[in-house]
Amino acid sequence: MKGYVLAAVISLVMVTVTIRAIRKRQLTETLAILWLVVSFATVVLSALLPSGAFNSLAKSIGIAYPPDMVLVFGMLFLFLFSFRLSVSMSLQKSRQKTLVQDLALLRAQLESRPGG
Amino acid sequence: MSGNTRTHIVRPRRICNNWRVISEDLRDAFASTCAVVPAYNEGASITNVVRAINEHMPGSRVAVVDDGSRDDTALRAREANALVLSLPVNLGIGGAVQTGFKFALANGYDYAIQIDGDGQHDPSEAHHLISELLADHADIVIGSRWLGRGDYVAPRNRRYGMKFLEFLVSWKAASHFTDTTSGFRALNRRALTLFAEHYPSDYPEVESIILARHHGLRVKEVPVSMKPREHGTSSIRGYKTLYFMVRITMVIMLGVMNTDNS
Repeated sequence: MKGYVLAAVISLVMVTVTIRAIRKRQLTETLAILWLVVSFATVVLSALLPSGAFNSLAKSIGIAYPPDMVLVFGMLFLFLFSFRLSVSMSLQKSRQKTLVQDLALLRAQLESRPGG
Repeated sequence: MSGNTRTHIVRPRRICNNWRVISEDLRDAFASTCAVVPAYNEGASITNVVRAINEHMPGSRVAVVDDGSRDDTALRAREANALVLSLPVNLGIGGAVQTGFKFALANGYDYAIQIDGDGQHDPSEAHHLISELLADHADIVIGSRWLGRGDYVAPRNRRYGMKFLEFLVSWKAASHFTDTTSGFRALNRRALTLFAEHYPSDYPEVESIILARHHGLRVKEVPVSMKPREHGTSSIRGYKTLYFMVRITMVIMLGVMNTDNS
Protein backbone atom coordinates (compact mmCIF):
# COMPACT_ATOMS: atom_id res chain seq x y z
CA MET A 1 0.00 0.00 0.00
CA LYS A 2 2.85 2.38 0.78
CA GLY A 3 4.07 2.23 -2.81
CA TYR A 4 0.79 3.68 -4.08
CA VAL A 5 1.02 6.57 -1.66
CA LEU A 6 4.56 7.34 -2.77
CA ALA A 7 3.55 7.30 -6.46
CA ALA A 8 0.59 9.56 -5.75
CA VAL A 9 2.73 12.03 -3.79
CA ILE A 10 5.38 12.18 -6.53
CA SER A 11 2.83 12.81 -9.27
CA LEU A 12 1.07 15.50 -7.24
CA VAL A 13 4.43 17.23 -6.63
CA MET A 14 5.03 17.09 -10.38
CA VAL A 15 1.68 18.75 -11.09
CA THR A 16 2.42 21.47 -8.53
CA VAL A 17 5.89 22.16 -9.94
CA THR A 18 4.48 22.37 -13.48
CA ILE A 19 1.68 24.76 -12.53
CA ARG A 20 4.07 26.96 -10.58
CA ALA A 21 6.44 27.17 -13.54
CA ILE A 22 3.57 28.11 -15.85
CA ARG A 23 2.33 30.83 -13.46
CA LYS A 24 5.85 32.26 -13.27
CA ARG A 25 5.99 32.17 -17.10
CA GLN A 26 9.08 29.97 -17.11
CA LEU A 27 7.62 27.77 -19.85
CA THR A 28 6.34 28.66 -23.29
CA GLU A 29 2.70 27.67 -23.93
CA THR A 30 3.50 24.60 -26.05
CA LEU A 31 5.86 23.13 -23.48
CA ALA A 32 3.51 24.11 -20.64
CA ILE A 33 0.72 22.05 -22.22
CA LEU A 34 3.09 19.13 -22.77
CA TRP A 35 4.23 19.06 -19.14
CA LEU A 36 0.69 19.50 -17.82
CA VAL A 37 -0.43 16.48 -19.84
CA VAL A 38 2.57 14.45 -18.66
CA SER A 39 2.09 15.31 -14.99
CA PHE A 40 -1.64 14.61 -15.07
CA ALA A 41 -0.92 11.33 -16.83
CA THR A 42 1.29 10.28 -13.91
CA VAL A 43 -1.52 11.19 -11.49
CA VAL A 44 -3.94 9.03 -13.44
CA LEU A 45 -1.44 6.16 -13.59
CA SER A 46 -0.83 6.26 -9.83
CA ALA A 47 -4.59 6.36 -9.24
CA LEU A 48 -4.94 3.23 -11.34
CA LEU A 49 -2.45 1.33 -9.18
CA PRO A 50 -4.63 0.26 -6.19
CA SER A 51 -7.56 -0.98 -8.28
CA GLY A 52 -5.42 -3.33 -10.34
CA ALA A 53 -6.52 -1.52 -13.52
CA PHE A 54 -2.87 -0.63 -14.12
CA ASN A 55 -1.90 -4.29 -14.21
CA SER A 56 -4.71 -5.29 -16.52
CA LEU A 57 -3.88 -2.35 -18.83
CA ALA A 58 -0.30 -3.64 -19.04
CA LYS A 59 -1.50 -7.19 -19.70
CA SER A 60 -3.91 -6.00 -22.40
CA ILE A 61 -1.09 -4.49 -24.47
CA GLY A 62 1.07 -7.58 -24.03
CA ILE A 63 3.44 -6.50 -21.27
CA ALA A 64 3.87 -9.44 -18.85
CA TYR A 65 5.56 -7.49 -16.05
CA PRO A 66 3.42 -4.35 -15.42
CA PRO A 67 6.18 -2.04 -14.06
CA ASP A 68 7.91 -2.44 -17.45
CA MET A 69 5.06 -0.47 -18.99
CA VAL A 70 6.20 2.63 -17.09
CA LEU A 71 9.81 2.06 -18.13
CA VAL A 72 9.01 1.51 -21.80
CA PHE A 73 6.74 4.52 -22.19
CA GLY A 74 8.87 6.67 -19.92
CA MET A 75 11.99 6.00 -21.95
CA LEU A 76 10.17 6.48 -25.22
CA PHE A 77 8.90 9.82 -24.01
CA LEU A 78 12.33 10.93 -22.74
CA PHE A 79 14.01 9.89 -25.98
CA LEU A 80 11.55 11.75 -28.19
CA PHE A 81 11.57 14.79 -25.97
CA SER A 82 15.35 15.09 -25.71
CA PHE A 83 15.61 14.64 -29.47
CA ARG A 84 13.18 17.48 -29.96
CA LEU A 85 15.23 19.60 -27.59
CA SER A 86 18.40 18.87 -29.59
CA VAL A 87 16.69 19.95 -32.79
CA SER A 88 15.41 23.14 -31.23
CA MET A 89 18.82 23.85 -29.66
CA SER A 90 20.50 23.56 -33.06
CA LEU A 91 17.97 25.96 -34.52
CA GLN A 92 18.56 28.43 -31.69
CA LYS A 93 22.29 28.16 -32.23
CA SER A 94 22.07 29.02 -35.91
CA ARG A 95 19.68 31.90 -35.19
CA GLN A 96 22.04 33.16 -32.51
CA LYS A 97 24.93 33.04 -34.99
CA THR A 98 23.03 35.20 -37.47
CA LEU A 99 22.12 37.70 -34.75
CA VAL A 100 25.70 37.95 -33.46
CA GLN A 101 27.03 38.47 -36.99
CA ASP A 102 24.44 41.11 -37.81
CA LEU A 103 25.21 42.89 -34.57
CA ALA A 104 28.94 43.00 -35.38
CA LEU A 105 28.23 44.29 -38.91
CA LEU A 106 25.81 46.97 -37.70
CA ARG A 107 28.22 48.05 -34.99
CA ALA A 108 31.01 48.45 -37.54
CA GLN A 109 28.67 50.43 -39.79
CA LEU A 110 27.76 52.71 -36.92
CA GLU A 111 31.40 53.30 -35.97
CA SER A 112 32.38 54.14 -39.55
CA ARG A 113 29.77 56.88 -39.82
CA PRO A 114 31.21 60.39 -39.71
CA GLY A 115 30.99 61.69 -36.15
CA GLY A 116 29.77 58.29 -34.93
CA MET B 1 60.17 35.89 -54.67
CA SER B 2 60.99 32.85 -52.59
CA GLY B 3 59.71 33.70 -49.13
CA ASN B 4 62.25 31.75 -47.14
CA THR B 5 65.45 33.76 -47.40
CA ARG B 6 63.97 37.14 -46.48
CA THR B 7 65.85 39.32 -44.01
CA HIS B 8 64.98 42.71 -42.59
CA ILE B 9 67.82 44.49 -44.35
CA VAL B 10 66.81 43.64 -47.88
CA ARG B 11 63.11 44.13 -47.16
CA PRO B 12 62.53 47.66 -48.50
CA ARG B 13 64.20 46.79 -51.79
CA ARG B 14 62.14 43.67 -52.12
CA ILE B 15 58.98 45.72 -51.87
CA CYS B 16 60.22 47.91 -54.70
CA ASN B 17 60.77 44.80 -56.77
CA ASN B 18 57.34 43.65 -55.74
CA TRP B 19 55.75 46.84 -57.01
CA ARG B 20 57.25 46.34 -60.42
CA VAL B 21 56.02 42.75 -60.51
CA ILE B 22 52.48 43.67 -59.51
CA SER B 23 50.58 44.59 -62.62
CA GLU B 24 48.12 47.44 -63.01
CA ASP B 25 45.28 44.90 -63.10
CA LEU B 26 46.34 43.29 -59.87
CA ARG B 27 46.56 46.65 -58.16
CA ASP B 28 42.99 47.38 -59.25
CA ALA B 29 41.97 43.97 -57.94
CA PHE B 30 43.54 44.72 -54.56
CA ALA B 31 41.50 47.92 -54.41
CA SER B 32 38.32 45.86 -54.55
CA THR B 33 39.55 43.12 -52.22
CA CYS B 34 38.58 42.66 -48.61
CA ALA B 35 41.09 40.76 -46.49
CA VAL B 36 39.13 38.81 -43.88
CA VAL B 37 41.26 38.10 -40.81
CA PRO B 38 39.60 35.85 -38.23
CA ALA B 39 41.28 36.36 -34.85
CA TYR B 40 40.65 34.82 -31.45
CA ASN B 41 43.08 36.00 -28.77
CA GLU B 42 45.74 36.88 -31.33
CA GLY B 43 46.88 40.14 -29.70
CA ALA B 44 50.51 39.00 -29.94
CA SER B 45 50.50 38.56 -33.72
CA ILE B 46 47.61 40.62 -35.13
CA THR B 47 49.60 43.84 -35.56
CA ASN B 48 52.18 42.18 -37.80
CA VAL B 49 49.51 40.38 -39.80
CA VAL B 50 47.58 43.59 -40.52
CA ARG B 51 50.79 45.48 -41.38
CA ALA B 52 51.93 42.74 -43.74
CA ILE B 53 48.57 42.76 -45.53
CA ASN B 54 48.67 46.53 -45.96
CA GLU B 55 52.21 46.24 -47.23
CA HIS B 56 51.67 43.45 -49.73
CA MET B 57 48.11 44.16 -50.79
CA PRO B 58 48.12 47.93 -51.21
CA GLY B 59 44.64 49.40 -51.50
CA SER B 60 42.85 46.44 -49.97
CA ARG B 61 40.52 46.70 -46.99
CA VAL B 62 41.57 44.72 -43.93
CA ALA B 63 38.62 43.48 -41.86
CA VAL B 64 39.70 41.77 -38.64
CA VAL B 65 36.91 39.64 -37.20
CA ASP B 66 37.48 39.61 -33.46
CA ASP B 67 35.78 36.40 -32.37
CA GLY B 68 35.02 37.42 -28.79
CA SER B 69 38.69 37.63 -27.78
CA ARG B 70 39.51 38.23 -24.14
CA ASP B 71 42.82 39.94 -24.92
CA ASP B 72 43.67 43.18 -26.76
CA THR B 73 43.19 41.78 -30.29
CA ALA B 74 40.55 44.38 -31.27
CA LEU B 75 42.54 47.29 -29.87
CA ARG B 76 45.75 46.30 -31.62
CA ALA B 77 43.96 45.68 -34.89
CA ARG B 78 42.42 49.16 -34.74
CA GLU B 79 45.82 50.67 -33.95
CA ALA B 80 47.14 49.01 -37.10
CA ASN B 81 44.33 50.71 -39.06
CA ALA B 82 42.22 47.65 -39.67
CA LEU B 83 38.45 47.68 -39.61
CA VAL B 84 37.33 45.52 -36.69
CA LEU B 85 34.17 43.44 -36.72
CA SER B 86 33.67 42.59 -33.06
CA LEU B 87 31.58 39.53 -32.31
CA PRO B 88 30.07 40.00 -28.84
CA VAL B 89 30.33 36.26 -28.15
CA ASN B 90 32.65 33.60 -29.53
CA LEU B 91 31.18 31.94 -32.63
CA GLY B 92 34.13 29.77 -33.66
CA ILE B 93 36.16 30.07 -36.84
CA GLY B 94 33.29 29.37 -39.27
CA GLY B 95 30.95 31.98 -37.86
CA ALA B 96 33.79 34.51 -37.65
CA VAL B 97 34.97 34.05 -41.23
CA GLN B 98 31.39 34.16 -42.49
CA THR B 99 30.93 37.54 -40.79
CA GLY B 100 33.84 38.81 -42.89
CA PHE B 101 32.29 37.36 -46.05
CA LYS B 102 28.97 39.03 -45.26
CA PHE B 103 30.79 42.31 -44.74
CA ALA B 104 32.67 41.98 -48.04
CA LEU B 105 29.49 41.14 -49.93
CA ALA B 106 27.41 43.91 -48.36
CA ASN B 107 30.09 46.50 -49.07
CA GLY B 108 30.49 45.62 -52.72
CA TYR B 109 33.93 44.03 -52.74
CA ASP B 110 34.67 41.82 -55.73
CA TYR B 111 37.08 39.58 -53.87
CA ALA B 112 37.72 38.42 -50.35
CA ILE B 113 40.82 36.71 -49.08
CA GLN B 114 40.94 34.86 -45.79
CA ILE B 115 44.23 35.34 -43.93
CA ASP B 116 44.41 33.86 -40.44
CA GLY B 117 45.23 36.20 -37.57
CA ASP B 118 47.91 33.91 -36.13
CA GLY B 119 50.50 34.81 -38.77
CA GLN B 120 50.50 31.38 -40.40
CA HIS B 121 49.64 32.76 -43.84
CA ASP B 122 52.07 35.02 -45.66
CA PRO B 123 50.32 38.05 -47.21
CA SER B 124 53.22 38.47 -49.64
CA GLU B 125 51.80 35.42 -51.40
CA ALA B 126 48.26 36.75 -51.56
CA HIS B 127 48.72 37.95 -55.11
CA HIS B 128 49.14 34.34 -56.29
CA LEU B 129 45.60 33.70 -55.13
CA ILE B 130 44.04 36.97 -56.27
CA SER B 131 45.54 36.80 -59.75
CA GLU B 132 43.86 33.42 -60.30
CA LEU B 133 40.51 34.99 -59.48
CA LEU B 134 41.32 37.97 -61.66
CA ALA B 135 42.04 35.67 -64.61
CA ASP B 136 38.71 33.95 -63.80
CA HIS B 137 40.39 30.57 -63.52
CA ALA B 138 38.36 29.74 -60.43
CA ASP B 139 35.72 30.99 -57.99
CA ILE B 140 37.70 29.88 -54.96
CA VAL B 141 41.49 29.69 -54.82
CA ILE B 142 43.11 27.80 -51.97
CA GLY B 143 46.73 28.24 -50.97
CA SER B 144 48.15 24.72 -50.59
CA ARG B 145 51.17 23.84 -48.47
CA TRP B 146 51.75 20.64 -50.38
CA LEU B 147 52.39 21.82 -53.91
CA GLY B 148 56.12 22.38 -53.61
CA ARG B 149 56.58 25.84 -52.23
CA GLY B 150 57.89 26.29 -48.68
CA ASP B 151 58.97 23.63 -46.21
CA TYR B 152 56.00 23.35 -43.87
CA VAL B 153 55.94 20.05 -42.00
CA ALA B 154 52.84 19.08 -40.07
CA PRO B 155 53.07 17.10 -36.85
CA ARG B 156 52.98 13.38 -37.69
CA ASN B 157 49.61 12.55 -36.15
CA ARG B 158 47.99 15.29 -38.18
CA ARG B 159 49.57 14.13 -41.41
CA TYR B 160 47.54 10.91 -41.48
CA GLY B 161 44.37 12.84 -40.88
CA MET B 162 45.20 15.27 -43.66
CA LYS B 163 45.90 12.37 -46.04
CA PHE B 164 42.53 10.86 -45.23
CA LEU B 165 40.74 14.17 -45.83
CA GLU B 166 42.63 14.64 -49.07
CA PHE B 167 41.32 11.30 -50.28
CA LEU B 168 37.75 11.86 -49.08
CA VAL B 169 37.39 15.38 -50.46
CA SER B 170 39.11 14.64 -53.75
CA TRP B 171 36.76 11.73 -54.27
CA LYS B 172 33.60 13.62 -53.32
CA ALA B 173 34.54 16.87 -55.05
CA ALA B 174 35.62 14.94 -58.15
CA SER B 175 38.93 16.74 -58.49
CA HIS B 176 42.20 16.42 -56.67
CA PHE B 177 42.89 18.51 -53.59
CA THR B 178 46.16 18.40 -51.68
CA ASP B 179 45.47 20.75 -48.78
CA THR B 180 41.88 20.57 -47.62
CA THR B 181 42.46 22.19 -44.23
CA SER B 182 44.16 25.31 -45.54
CA GLY B 183 42.43 28.49 -44.39
CA PHE B 184 44.44 30.64 -46.81
CA ARG B 185 41.88 31.13 -49.56
CA ALA B 186 40.46 33.76 -51.85
CA LEU B 187 36.89 34.01 -53.17
CA ASN B 188 35.14 35.94 -55.87
CA ARG B 189 31.63 37.38 -55.62
CA ARG B 190 29.99 34.18 -56.73
CA ALA B 191 31.61 32.24 -53.90
CA LEU B 192 31.00 35.09 -51.45
CA THR B 193 27.30 35.01 -52.26
CA LEU B 194 27.12 31.31 -51.45
CA PHE B 195 29.22 31.45 -48.29
CA ALA B 196 27.46 34.53 -46.89
CA GLU B 197 24.31 32.40 -46.94
CA HIS B 198 25.66 28.95 -46.08
CA TYR B 199 28.88 28.32 -44.24
CA PRO B 200 29.77 25.44 -41.92
CA SER B 201 30.36 26.54 -38.35
CA ASP B 202 33.06 24.65 -36.48
CA TYR B 203 35.65 23.27 -38.91
CA PRO B 204 34.67 25.03 -42.12
CA GLU B 205 37.69 24.53 -44.38
CA VAL B 206 37.05 20.99 -45.54
CA GLU B 207 33.27 21.16 -45.58
CA SER B 208 33.23 24.40 -47.53
CA ILE B 209 35.13 22.81 -50.42
CA ILE B 210 32.46 20.14 -50.75
CA LEU B 211 29.73 22.75 -50.38
CA ALA B 212 31.25 24.90 -53.12
CA ARG B 213 31.67 21.96 -55.50
CA HIS B 214 28.10 20.89 -54.80
CA HIS B 215 26.95 24.32 -55.98
CA GLY B 216 29.05 24.07 -59.12
CA LEU B 217 31.78 26.51 -58.11
CA ARG B 218 35.29 26.11 -59.49
CA VAL B 219 37.82 25.47 -56.73
CA LYS B 220 41.53 25.60 -57.47
CA GLU B 221 44.71 25.21 -55.45
CA VAL B 222 47.91 27.20 -55.84
CA PRO B 223 51.19 26.52 -54.06
CA VAL B 224 52.06 28.66 -51.03
CA SER B 225 54.46 28.37 -48.14
CA MET B 226 53.19 28.39 -44.59
CA LYS B 227 54.91 29.06 -41.31
CA PRO B 228 54.30 26.94 -38.27
CA ARG B 229 52.22 29.13 -35.96
CA GLU B 230 54.20 31.45 -33.70
CA HIS B 231 51.66 32.00 -30.93
CA GLY B 232 48.64 30.11 -29.65
CA THR B 233 47.52 26.61 -30.49
CA SER B 234 45.52 24.95 -33.23
CA SER B 235 41.82 24.60 -32.64
CA ILE B 236 42.08 20.92 -33.53
CA ARG B 237 44.18 18.75 -31.24
CA GLY B 238 44.08 15.64 -29.10
CA TYR B 239 40.78 13.76 -29.03
CA LYS B 240 39.30 16.56 -31.14
CA THR B 241 41.23 15.22 -34.13
CA LEU B 242 39.17 12.03 -34.00
CA TYR B 243 35.94 13.96 -33.52
CA PHE B 244 36.90 16.14 -36.48
CA MET B 245 37.45 13.11 -38.72
CA VAL B 246 34.17 11.46 -37.69
CA ARG B 247 32.31 14.69 -38.21
CA ILE B 248 33.74 15.39 -41.66
CA THR B 249 33.06 11.84 -42.76
CA MET B 250 29.45 12.10 -41.58
CA VAL B 251 28.91 15.44 -43.26
CA ILE B 252 30.32 14.19 -46.53
CA MET B 253 28.67 10.77 -46.55
CA LEU B 254 25.22 11.91 -45.46
CA GLY B 255 25.10 14.80 -47.88
CA VAL B 256 24.59 17.43 -45.17
CA MET B 257 25.83 19.85 -47.80
CA ASN B 258 22.61 19.64 -49.78
CA THR B 259 21.43 23.05 -48.67
CA ASP B 260 18.66 22.99 -51.25
CA ASN B 261 16.63 20.39 -49.33
CA SER B 262 16.76 22.18 -46.01
